[in-house]
Amino acid sequence: MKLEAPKFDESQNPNISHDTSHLGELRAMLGYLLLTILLVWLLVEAIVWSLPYTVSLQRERAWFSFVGKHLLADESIKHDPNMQELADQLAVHMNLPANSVDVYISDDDTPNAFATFGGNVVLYRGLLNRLPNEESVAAVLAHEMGHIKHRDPMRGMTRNLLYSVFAAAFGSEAQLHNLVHLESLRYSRELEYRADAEAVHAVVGQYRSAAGVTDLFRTLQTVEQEYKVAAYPTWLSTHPATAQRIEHAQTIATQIHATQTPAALPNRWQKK
Amino acid sequence: MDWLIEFSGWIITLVLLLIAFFTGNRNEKKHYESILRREEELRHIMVVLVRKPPKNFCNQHLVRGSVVISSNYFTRLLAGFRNFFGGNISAYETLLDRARREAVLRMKEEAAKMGSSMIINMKFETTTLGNIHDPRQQAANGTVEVLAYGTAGKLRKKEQSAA
Repeated sequence: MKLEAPKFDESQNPNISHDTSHLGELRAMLGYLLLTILLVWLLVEAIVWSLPYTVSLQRERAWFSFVGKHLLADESIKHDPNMQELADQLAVHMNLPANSVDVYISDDDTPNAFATFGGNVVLYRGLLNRLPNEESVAAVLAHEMGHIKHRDPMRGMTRNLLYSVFAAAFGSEAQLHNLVHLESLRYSRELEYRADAEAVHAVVGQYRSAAGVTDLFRTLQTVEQEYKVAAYPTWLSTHPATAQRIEHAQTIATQIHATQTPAALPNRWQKK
Repeated sequence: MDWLIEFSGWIITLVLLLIAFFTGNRNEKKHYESILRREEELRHIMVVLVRKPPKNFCNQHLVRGSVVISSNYFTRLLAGFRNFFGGNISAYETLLDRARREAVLRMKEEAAKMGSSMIINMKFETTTLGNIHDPRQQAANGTVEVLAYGTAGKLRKKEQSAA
């Protein structure tokens, strides 16, 4: 008798799956991935949509009351009664409840302004000094108040949180992060358009002319030239291109039959 | 050209995936061909597990066969998906199957050089290669080492034992 190992039939190898193809598996996995993305996206949209109904602006302000204190802790950031008065006047035209916005002025030279949690708006001296008249200051203020009216800081945070959870689940899939990032940029631009629309409505309501908004965008264009902002494609930036924003603002101004009477009031916040 | 720079990450990923898919498949096919051919050549060496070695088992040696084998980028992507969605990582099945059989073959080749006809009580050791100090990287390379070892020897001829 000759001893030898039994002949091995490869097609009967029990240790490997014979009926699976890698490409088929990849297709199935991509299908699952798409489904997951869709579900997360729907969940985010649902939460964002229901946010203004579930958390009132007043409650948001109560939760984030520390933000105002935190801002004032910075020596260069101060409360400005005149600006606050202007904000309260604009709030009336924007259907914002009284006392829903706190306005601060920062002495920083950056041409910028932002709205954050709890109805806090910070305007930078760098932008205020460049604006030619009160109407354009009101346009910036109304734009930021528009973000607060639409609860954009909360929306942004909710979306980012959920997307972070999603991204964490997929580990280091860098390409997925890129996609999520692009989507958040698109969303951000959408919010900017809405805030711009609010600004047009408020400025026209206050001054009977949309010139302030146009002046603001013109200032923004000079700032862009000054800082030599790289001409990124729109889909790569948080804000729409200024030219598109002007067009958008003018469309709305025409819709509400606003005049373009040149702005006349001096900029009270300009410091030479 | 901006979009090209922006999407270069995607394009490189896609190209690497394609390369990995084709070279990976080709290498696997070639490896299986080699395994089947050598298994046929070394069939005269038996590998058995016994509690007590046969009385006429002589010329004993420790024989080892070890192999380090890596998955490709494409299978790692599939396995990464499986990490999230769960399920049978079939992409790694062939990897381990090949590694074990290759290790056994290398062990048998060593035994063949010594003129052995039988290996008794073979055992496997399997380990992943990666940074053992970082749990996330332990198997990040999808690289595995398989070691097969056993006692090789031959059966003394009956007439010799009788003599």
